[in-house]
Amino acid sequence: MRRLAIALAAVAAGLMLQAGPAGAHHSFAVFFDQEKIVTQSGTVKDFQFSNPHGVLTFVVAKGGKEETWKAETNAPVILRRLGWSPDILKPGDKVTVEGWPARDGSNYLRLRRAFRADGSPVGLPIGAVDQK
Amino acid sequence: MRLSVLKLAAAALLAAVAVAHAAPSHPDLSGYWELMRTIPQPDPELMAKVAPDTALLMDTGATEFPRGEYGGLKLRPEALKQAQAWKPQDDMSLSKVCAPPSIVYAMQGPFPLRIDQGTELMVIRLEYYDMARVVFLDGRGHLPADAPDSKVGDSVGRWDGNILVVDTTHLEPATITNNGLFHSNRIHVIERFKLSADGRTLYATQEFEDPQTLENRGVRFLAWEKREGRYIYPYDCDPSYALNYGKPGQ
Repeated sequence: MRRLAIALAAVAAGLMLQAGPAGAHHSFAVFFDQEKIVTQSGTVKDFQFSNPHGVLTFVVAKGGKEETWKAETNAPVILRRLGWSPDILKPGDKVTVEGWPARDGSNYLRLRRAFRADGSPVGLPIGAVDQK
Repeated sequence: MRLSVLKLAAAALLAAVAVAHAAPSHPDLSGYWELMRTIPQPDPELMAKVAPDTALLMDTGATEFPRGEYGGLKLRPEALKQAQAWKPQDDMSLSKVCAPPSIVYAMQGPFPLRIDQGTELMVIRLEYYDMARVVFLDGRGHLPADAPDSKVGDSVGRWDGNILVVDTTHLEPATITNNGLFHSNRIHVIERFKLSADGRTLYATQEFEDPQTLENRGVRFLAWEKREGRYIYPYDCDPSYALNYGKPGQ
């Protein structure tokens, strides 16, 4: 009975947890707001493909001005199994990025998925890693 | 003379075969394993071996506790004070961003591992931070108390039927839940590994106690799927990532 109580309490607690995307080094729940999704479209300036996280830097045109955004990816070791590579995104590429915004309100997000100008996805979506 | 040598060789061969048959055969945990995205219900046989009053942490894999949530672990006052004072941004520095966690956090992460099992020892390679564990299976004891600590610690294993029990000490202080709770070097970890009947799933419990930090014990239940034709990638952590962090527009 005691073990059952532990299990039920744990399941209940689990329902209250914040499940972030795979591959977090730092705490996803602490740094990003998983209740929100933001989408930004722009031009790739730089793509850093190294662990613990890749970082995509892109420029977004807004009202005649340019904003620089950064999108942090899953660990590249995981992305490689999803078809990503260091040169999958190059400077000048048009890209639309969807992700979870930083809690501090900065132009920084955690990448959920990305698309090219023609709408095709960049790599496989997170979660497709389970293909057998 | 030559006949005698042949007879001796044949006798030795027969003796070796007899010993091999007499030796207990253990499950072979070798292979490439990926943590299951959806962890199944904890294995009853493994959970029955967990000590009483142990909190089952449900943050395995991609799931993470928010700040202030420790999954049922009861923190001692000093550990709680430290967790409350923790500033996550401080971890995002060149000197800290590539510091690996200990096996307490690393084993439950959503990264694959590779096991190569021998009779005297087992090697567990974790993709996460290029960590490599050696588990001695030859009956030796732990290192002396004054031996250095590390993030993988000192692991010795023994078989309890079809369950491999791995006992680990000598761990350097590191995070438990990635939200400000750190274990001390007094932590003691017991892992139990069990192969599914079809050999395709590896189940484990990782149970730990740390009298310096925690008033109770904690355990995580883990499950990995065997995948063929896949490999561990080098992690090669790049600390320059810390320069990007939280600095958009630069």
